[in-house]
Amino acid sequence: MSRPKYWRGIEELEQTPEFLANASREFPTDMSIEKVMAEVSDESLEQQASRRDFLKILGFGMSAAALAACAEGPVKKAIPYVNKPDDIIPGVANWYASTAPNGAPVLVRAREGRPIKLEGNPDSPLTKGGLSALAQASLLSLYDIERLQTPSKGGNTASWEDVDREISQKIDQIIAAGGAFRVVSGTVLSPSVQQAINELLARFADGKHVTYDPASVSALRTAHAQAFGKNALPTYHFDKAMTIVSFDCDFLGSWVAPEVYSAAYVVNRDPKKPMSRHLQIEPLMSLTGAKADLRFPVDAHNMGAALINLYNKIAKAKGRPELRAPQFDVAMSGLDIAAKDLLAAGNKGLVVCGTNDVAAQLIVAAINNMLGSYGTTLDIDNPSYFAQGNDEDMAAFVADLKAGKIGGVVFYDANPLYNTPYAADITQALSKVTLSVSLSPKADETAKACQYVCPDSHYLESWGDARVAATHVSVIQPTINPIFNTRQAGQSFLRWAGKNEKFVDYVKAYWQTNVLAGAADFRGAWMEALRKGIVTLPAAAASASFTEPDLQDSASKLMASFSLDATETFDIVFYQKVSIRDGKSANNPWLQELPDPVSKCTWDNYVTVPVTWAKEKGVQNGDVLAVKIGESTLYMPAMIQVGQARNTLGIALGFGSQGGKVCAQANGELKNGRQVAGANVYPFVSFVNGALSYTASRVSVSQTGDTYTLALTQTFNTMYDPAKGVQFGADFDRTERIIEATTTYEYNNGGYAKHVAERDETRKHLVTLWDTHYKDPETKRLIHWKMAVDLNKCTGCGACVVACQAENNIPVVGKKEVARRREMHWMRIDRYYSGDSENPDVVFQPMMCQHCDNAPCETVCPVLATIHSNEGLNQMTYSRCVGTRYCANNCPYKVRRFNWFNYFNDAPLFGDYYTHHELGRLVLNPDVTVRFRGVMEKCTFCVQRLQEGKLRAKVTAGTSLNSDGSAVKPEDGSIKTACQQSCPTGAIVFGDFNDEKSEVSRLFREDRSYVVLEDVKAQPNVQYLALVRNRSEAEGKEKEQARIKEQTYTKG
Amino acid sequence: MRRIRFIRIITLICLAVSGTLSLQAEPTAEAGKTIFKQNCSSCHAMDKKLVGPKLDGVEEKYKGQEEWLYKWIRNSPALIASGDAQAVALWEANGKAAMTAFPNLTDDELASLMVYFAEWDKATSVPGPPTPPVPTADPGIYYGLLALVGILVLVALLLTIITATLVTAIRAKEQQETIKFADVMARTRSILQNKFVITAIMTFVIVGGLAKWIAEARTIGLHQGYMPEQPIAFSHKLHAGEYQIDCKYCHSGTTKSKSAWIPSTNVCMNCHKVIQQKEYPGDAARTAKSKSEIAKIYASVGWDPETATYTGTEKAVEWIRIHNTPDHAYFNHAQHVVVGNIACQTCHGPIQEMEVVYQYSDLGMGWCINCHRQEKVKVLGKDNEEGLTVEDMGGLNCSRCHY
Repeated sequence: MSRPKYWRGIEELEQTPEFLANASREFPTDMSIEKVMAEVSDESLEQQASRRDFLKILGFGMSAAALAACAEGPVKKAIPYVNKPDDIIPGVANWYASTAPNGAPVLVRAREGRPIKLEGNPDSPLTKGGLSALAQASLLSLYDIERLQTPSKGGNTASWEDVDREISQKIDQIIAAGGAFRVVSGTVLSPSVQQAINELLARFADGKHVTYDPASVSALRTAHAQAFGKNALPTYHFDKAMTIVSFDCDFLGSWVAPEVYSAAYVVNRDPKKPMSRHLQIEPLMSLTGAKADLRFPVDAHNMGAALINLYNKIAKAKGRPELRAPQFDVAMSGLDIAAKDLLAAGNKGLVVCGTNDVAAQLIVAAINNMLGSYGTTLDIDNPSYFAQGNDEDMAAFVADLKAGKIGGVVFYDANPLYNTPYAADITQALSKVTLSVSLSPKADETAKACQYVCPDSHYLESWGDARVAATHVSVIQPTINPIFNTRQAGQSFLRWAGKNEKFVDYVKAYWQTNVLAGAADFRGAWMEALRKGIVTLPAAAASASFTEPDLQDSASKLMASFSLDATETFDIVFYQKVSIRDGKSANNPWLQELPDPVSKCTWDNYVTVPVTWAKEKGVQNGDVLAVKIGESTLYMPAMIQVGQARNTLGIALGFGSQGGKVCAQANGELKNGRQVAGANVYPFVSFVNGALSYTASRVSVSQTGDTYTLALTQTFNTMYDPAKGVQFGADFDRTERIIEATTTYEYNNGGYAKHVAERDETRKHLVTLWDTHYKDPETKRLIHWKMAVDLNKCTGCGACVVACQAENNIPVVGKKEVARRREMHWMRIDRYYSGDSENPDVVFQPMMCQHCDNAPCETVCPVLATIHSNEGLNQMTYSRCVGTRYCANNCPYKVRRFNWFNYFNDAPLFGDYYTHHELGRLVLNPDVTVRFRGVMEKCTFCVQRLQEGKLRAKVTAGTSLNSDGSAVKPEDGSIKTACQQSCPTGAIVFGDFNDEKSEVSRLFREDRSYVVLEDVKAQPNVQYLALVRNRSEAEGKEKEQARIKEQTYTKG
Repeated sequence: MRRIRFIRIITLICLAVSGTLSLQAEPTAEAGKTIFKQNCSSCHAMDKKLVGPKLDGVEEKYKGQEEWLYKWIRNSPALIASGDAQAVALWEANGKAAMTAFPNLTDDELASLMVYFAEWDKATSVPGPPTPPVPTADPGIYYGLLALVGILVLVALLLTIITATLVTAIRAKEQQETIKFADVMARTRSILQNKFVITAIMTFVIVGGLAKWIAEARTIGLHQGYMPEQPIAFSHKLHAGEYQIDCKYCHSGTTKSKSAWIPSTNVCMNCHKVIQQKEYPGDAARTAKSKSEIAKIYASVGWDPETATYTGTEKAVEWIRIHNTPDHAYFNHAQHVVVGNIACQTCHGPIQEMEVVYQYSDLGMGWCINCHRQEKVKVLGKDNEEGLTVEDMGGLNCSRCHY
């Protein structure tokens, strides 16, 4: 088995002096408090503190502390309820089933009436308990101080009565004049809200609901309308697919419903069973591409040709006519491999395409139809209700608006002045309408331009429902009273439709007549639905049939973008960052600080440049480039992205909005009179052949000589010191002790077994400096907590990182502090590359405290603040910690985090975040201490959950020891750490190792289970399961040689 | 206060006596209440200002001016119009709001009203809350000690003077040279400059100081004996001791939650809807006090005992929290009460004997750890034969309580 060298960034691969300096240094030493203060504050400390000043302050501090200690403690009050609600148990969390805005069913954990954590609903057959970072973070927007607090009229606060009266009057005017009325919204998942909208629109002679998605997949729907007569998004069954060929479709990261697709995708990724095969053809490096078995970088303008050539290969095999198109293939004859695999998989093959182009989607539909995949891996008869946006409707709306044909418009969950290419047109034309209303909860661009703003309540304050698929409906129920004077959108629509009933009754009525129509006891069924959160409806029988569209026409349209002069200019792709996505949640600091899974960059957008070009021009990360798209020039910092096609650039959508103070921090800065970074690229999206195109061609790039600091975490916390590594031998590379990856060929044909035998042999010879101070008791009375992380399942999506942040009160530190390597995430996802930098293999490795039984950190703590528990936990006692940081220095895994500042309270220092407001602090978990300045912290294995789970078992049993002397232990799987709970793919498994039947024990016995940096012999309680890529012997060898073949290209 | 009460009782007796003597229909509080409800209560309340001013103390205020008051009640506008100075002043003091005239009320009826007012006043006038006994040592002791020290110093001074005088006298008698003050100073200085003495004093100061400092530092943040005055003088002695109410009836969180819960006011109402006061035979003051304390529950929950209805105005009782563990220490009642089967008194002391609750244990970490080392774990259905302690079950792990 080969053991390649792994690296985390081009700077590490090339071992730049800067990288080496940082890798051998534990803390950034050049950042004194004076410097930080000078940077963040106008009133900077003008000079450095002298020794005398220090002594003065020390003396004053000590006497002040002594005096303060003499004072009496503050009088604390204990204020009980007057009438305690029966269902609230102070000190014990309540759980409510609801649905996140992206359609993911959630369980809301509420303490004393305030929601503090979201968890995926494990009853959901779609998400199986997973929850993406985006949905996790939607909790924080409830406590966003920048939410609109009252309705307003022309920018002035107004009462609901006034705005309702005036809006109703204007609606009557429009009806009387026979004018047109539009509701412009994002995807409305709620059937009840949809019905309310329909009722409002029915009042008008020309009332229409226009749906658009900022990151649209409208073309996919249009293609299915043309091919199947059904404008719908098919349901993808990745769990049934044995071969997946994806054309620029980031279905695991940012496309449509990643948590649903991820949960299904991993079903066939177990090397012990027949493993699915995943090929990715894409211009940029996406998260999905990083997980693919084989990945082929192809420039954006060649994607169409690649698709047509794949069609032709399959059509040829199936005896169908081929399309006229130039011959094209990707490296390693990838299209041949793809065609072969798809044909082998037959109706278990699946081709997905993320390009929003009707022609491309028609060809994809045709390929899937040829394979017979409709009915197995694809279901158009029971479609998905995600992403309902229709680009043509939106274009027509803008045209009508410009023509002055629209009487009134309501914007709901829509900010077209920011996230469409029509911002300028709409701004101008909006003055022509009689009535314009925005239901935005924030003072965004559209809300500012509308006559009335009627802020929508947060979904955790609202009643509702969500139908994400034909067979899958879930409820939304309020978990807190509206914090501000807001009103949920459904209620507003009802009110303007002339109905005065409460929206909750309306939802119930809808369910009574639709979802639960068959229920004998509606009340009982409704209560059960509220309890469970999800109702599954019977699937419809197959009925839609495929009508062959004019594929040659599609091919011609696709080839129109197949240009030749790609040598001097670039293509550009506007993609979605996994965390920020289309930018609707950009004002969320959890999401902004979550490193992008692939680039590992926080807080900003940037232009991703291919490594070949960067090398040729000597471009470094952070160099400001002038990117000329059409007539406009954007100044963007460069981010060298390995694996990106040679002539393609990428810029993320979702930045540059006026959504609030938090996203303003991610909107770049002025440098030499130029706006650098944080560009809004929605204006460059174009409307092509009936759908929005997120690519542009003929883009030129030049260097400006400026630099910009990117908060790029990819080489933080390097787990080895390259200089010291030499001591073990000249050819020693410690990275091979961190990652284990193999191929199915090696795994199934003894190659891996040989390695395992070698590993076990080495293990015998490892020496340790420590005596084992954890002794497994023979009685097995105690629990031994262990965690297994399956690298095969981990997609690197970052859901666990945000879940951990929410659960453990981890502060947001801001971009500048991240850039100084002071991010506080207890859990990071290390992303390693290996092989050729033009098309590397990628491994994601979640890295958190390994809870070593021989923990190096424990032996160096002078105050015993970190010691071992007899349950195998490496405990961190904040109140003992004096902040020597020896432990972090001695940690081989670099998982300890130091509070350089009081991040929770030092509001003006690094940015204005939720913890700096009383409202925002409501999100804190009351069971977890908020750490203060000067204290070390790290992953605790969510010890508060362990304690709660153990106690639940004991309270239920009423004792801690059973009569036979065995200990009362929680059931395996009943305790989940926050990261484990939210993982959409179930990659993290946690449990009691002393229980031989537990899932974690089983995984520890797997041959793939290995220890990171085993040579340290710290005996971690976390083990990883090696990554297995589904590759043949030849493919494995080819990748090993790490040579990407030139793209063969001939003009047809 | 006492004097006022005395006067009231006398007045009451006088009224009663005069009533009996005049052989007329006896003015009773009962009748007065009916009159009050029928005529006055739409504008007046006894304890608070409604449209008109509150009426408690009215009877007291107009003692001896009944005639004027009766005139005022029967037709105040006329009285004001007549230019009666007192009437005008009263009228102006109440925002020149005219009071409805009640010409029909007879003297007897008004007398009954006065009796009702007097009764009401008597019921509500409460002796000042008794100062809760302070569990710390009586400060008198310190003053005593101080005085003692002062006396001792005086005695020492006196003795020194006497000795000095005697020594001088003896020396003078023996024709010796008198000791000069400078010599005394020189000798004292030589003693003080002795290295041994200096070392001894310094050692004593440093070691003693350090020991004292450490001992004091250990008690920082511990508030053993903390006994704040609570907004309602709730007696655990009465409820838990005398009436034997189970602790968990009110503190029901102890079996479910980490916090024990101070019961919400509606739990109090389970009993106090009926029990409006406690009768202390022969101690009217205590009875009245109990009534006024229970009235605070009614005020909180918005209960009108007169009409037996909820008014809808609620105000939570703001109890003073006695047992405070620091934020970084996690404690769970259910763990100890249900799983550990620990009696409340183990930590909270003889709560059933406390008139006013105070913090019995110091709640310091040493105290917790000590118990975890000694306490045997409960085994279901039999004795803990192995003698397993909480420590054996991992009860000393830091992260049991700190996370």
